[in-house]
Amino acid sequence: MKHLPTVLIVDDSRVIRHAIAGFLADYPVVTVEAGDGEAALEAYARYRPALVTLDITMPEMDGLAVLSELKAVDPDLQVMVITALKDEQTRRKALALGADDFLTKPVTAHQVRDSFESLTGKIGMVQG
Amino acid sequence: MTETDLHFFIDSTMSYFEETTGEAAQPGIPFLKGRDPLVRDFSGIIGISGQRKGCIYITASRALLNQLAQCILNRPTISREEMKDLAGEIANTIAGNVREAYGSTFMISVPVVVEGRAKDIVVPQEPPAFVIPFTWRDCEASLVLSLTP
Amino acid sequence: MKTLSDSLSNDQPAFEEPSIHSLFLEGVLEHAGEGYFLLDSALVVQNPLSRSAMRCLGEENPVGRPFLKILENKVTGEIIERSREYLTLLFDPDLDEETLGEINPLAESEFCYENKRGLWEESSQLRFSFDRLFEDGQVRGILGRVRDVSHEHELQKRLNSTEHQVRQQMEWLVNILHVESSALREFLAGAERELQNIEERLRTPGKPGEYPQVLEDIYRSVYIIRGNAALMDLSFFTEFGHQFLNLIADIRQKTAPGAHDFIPVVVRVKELRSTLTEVENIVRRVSRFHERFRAKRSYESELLVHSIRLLVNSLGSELGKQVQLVHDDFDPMSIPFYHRQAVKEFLYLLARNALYYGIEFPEERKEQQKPAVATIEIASKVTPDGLNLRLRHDGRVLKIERLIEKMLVQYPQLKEEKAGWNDADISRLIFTPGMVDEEERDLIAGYSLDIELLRKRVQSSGGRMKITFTSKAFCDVIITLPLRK
Repeated sequence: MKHLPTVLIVDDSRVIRHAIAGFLADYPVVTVEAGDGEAALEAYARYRPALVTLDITMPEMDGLAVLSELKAVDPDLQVMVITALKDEQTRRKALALGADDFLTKPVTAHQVRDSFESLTGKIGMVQG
Repeated sequence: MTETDLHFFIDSTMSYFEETTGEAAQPGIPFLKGRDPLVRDFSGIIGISGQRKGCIYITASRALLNQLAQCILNRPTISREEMKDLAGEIANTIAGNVREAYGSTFMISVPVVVEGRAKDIVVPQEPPAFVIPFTWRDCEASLVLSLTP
Repeated sequence: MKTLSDSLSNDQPAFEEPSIHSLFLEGVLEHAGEGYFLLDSALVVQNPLSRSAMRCLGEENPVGRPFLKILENKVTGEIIERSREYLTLLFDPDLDEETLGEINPLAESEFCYENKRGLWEESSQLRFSFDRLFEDGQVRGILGRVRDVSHEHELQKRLNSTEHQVRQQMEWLVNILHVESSALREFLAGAERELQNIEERLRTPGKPGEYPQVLEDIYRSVYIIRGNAALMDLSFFTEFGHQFLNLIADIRQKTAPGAHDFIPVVVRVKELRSTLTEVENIVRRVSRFHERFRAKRSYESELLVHSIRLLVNSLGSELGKQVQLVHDDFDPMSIPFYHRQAVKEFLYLLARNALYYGIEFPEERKEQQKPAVATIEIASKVTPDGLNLRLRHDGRVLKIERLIEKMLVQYPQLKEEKAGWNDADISRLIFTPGMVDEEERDLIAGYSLDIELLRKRVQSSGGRMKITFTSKAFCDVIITLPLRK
C-alpha cells in the first residue's frame, strides 16, 4: 500500500491548525500538527513531512528559528509560512531563510490551497 | 495615540472579520476606557514592546467566538478551549497585521487569554486607553488599546 | 591625511617594542568605548576591529562579511540603500569631507537586534562616522567608528519631553494664576462634569441613526467648557474648545456621520482629559503652599454673585452693551450645597444668553424708548414647591416673529390658531425641533442651544422651568428646583 505524503501544520493556535487541516482535507495527504517550535522539530524528525505550514510567533521557539533548522537539515523541504506578522522585514527574513511561500493571516482556504498546489506541484507530490 | 493609530487598528480589526468570514464587522464609536471594567467572556491580550509599549486586548462574547469558530472550522460544535484559543488568535492577528504600518520594531508577544468576566483587565490610566467597540453578526466585542505615544 | 598603511602599520614611533605596540592596540580594541572597524573597497569588514564594534553591529564575527549585509534586518531597507550610495561615494577622492559628513545616513540610527529565536527584541541608538583612508591620493579603505548613544538618546528624549511638559505647565500656571481660586476649581469641576458627559455619550451612543444627536450633545458640552473658559480668560481651554467646536461643526455637515467620523473627536477628548488632569495636578500642587488657592467655604456663597457680576460686566463690555446686575432679592445662603453648582450653571447660562441674544445695544434701546443701561435681575426664594430661581432682563426675545412665520409655513393648519397664541405657546415654539437651521444659526443657534440645554439640565435636576416674555419688553425665567427634606 502506498504511503500518503505528510503535511506538518505548525501553529500555537489550535483553531488555526484545525482550520488549515480542514483546508487540505480534500487532498490525498496526511496532516499532523505541532503547537510550538520544539514540537515541530520533533514531529519533523518523526514524520518526515513533504511540506510544513509554519507560524512565526510561537512560545519557546519561534517559526523563524524552526525554519532555519529545518532548512539546514532538509533544504528541499517545502515550507509555507503563515503568520500574522505583515511587515516587509519579516517577509524578507523568512524568504531569506528559505521559506517557499509567505502568507499573512487571516488566510482563506483558497489562499492555502493555491499555495499548497503550487508548492506540491514543484516537487511532484500527489495532487487531489 | 493619534487618529492614524486608531485607523490602523480599526482597519486591521475590520479586515480580520471580512477576510476570515466574508462578513464585515461594524465598528462603533471609539471611546476612552475609564475605571469601569471592560471584559467579556474571553479576552486575548498581546503585550507590545519596542518603539511602542503597552498592550492591546480584544474581549468578546462566547456567542461571537462560537459563531466565528464555526465559520473558520466549518463545523457546528465548538469547544470552550477552541473559543478561548480563538480569542488569542484574533488579538495576535490584529496586532501582527498592524506591523504592516509600524514595521518590525512594533514587537508583539504571544497571546495570553483570560476567561471570564470576574475581573477587569487592568491597563494604565495615563495615557488613557482607547476602546474600539464593534459588532459582528449582532454580537458585541471590543478592542482595547493601551499604548505609549 | 591618514592612509590605510598608516592605520595598520606597526611602524609607529610611540613604542619601541613591537610587542608593547600590539598589546596597546589589542587593549584599545578590547576596551575602547567607541567601536572601530575597517571596510575595504568592496565594503567588506576587515581586521582589526574592536569588541565594542562587534557589540554595536550585533555580530560575533563580522570580519569578512559585507557591511551592508550586516545592516540587513537591523535598519530599514531605505537606510541600507542610502548607506550603499553613501559608502560608495566615500571612495571618490574628489568629494570633500564636509559634504560627505552631512549626508551620512547612519549618523544616528536605531538598530534592532534579533534574539536567538530570530525575533526583534532589543534596539540601540547608534552613531556611526566614517573616515577615509588614503594612499597615493586614492581611498583605500574606510575607518568606521560606531558608538552606542542609546543612553544619551533616551536622556535627550526625556529631557525634551520634560521641557515640553514644563513649558506647557508654566503656560497653564500663568494662565490660571489670575483666576479666583474657587472660580477656577468650579471651572475645573464643571469641565470635568462636561467631560464625563461627553465620555458617557461616546460610550453609549445608541444606533447610527442617533449619531447626529451624539454630536449635538458633545457640541453642547464643549460649548459650555469653551464659554466658561472664555469668561475666565483661560485662553488655552478657550482655544482648545474653539478648535474642538469647529471640528464637530465640520462633522455635523455630513448627512449621516459614521463611527469613523468620531475618531478625531475621541482623540480630542483624550487630549482634553489629559489637559484637565494636568491642570488639576498643578492646582493641587500650588494649593499646598499658596493660601490663595485654598477653598474657603464661607466665601463661596459670595463668590456666586461675584462671578455672575464678573460675567455680566466682562461680557457686557466685550459686546458693547451696558448692563447692571440687580441681586437684592438673591440670597446665596438659601441655596443648598447640593444645588450650588447647578444654580451657578443655570444663572451663567441665562445671563450669558440674555447678554448675547436678548439685551440690545444702547442706541437700539434708546430708539425703543428703553433706558440705555439694561437690567438683569436675579432672585431666589424658598417656597413649599422648592427653591425658586428667577432671572429677568429687560431686553427682547430674538426673532420671535420670524419663528412664528416659519412655524406657520411648516404647519399651515396652525394659522387659525395664531390669533389665540399666548406667550406660553410662543415659548413652546422656541423649543420646537427643526425651528433652527444652519442659515439662522449665527443668530439664534446660541440662544436655542443655551435654552434647550438649560431645559435638559433643569429636568435632570428634577426641576421645572417657566419662561414668560413679551417679545420686545422683557423676558422672565423662573426655575424651580426640588429641595431635600
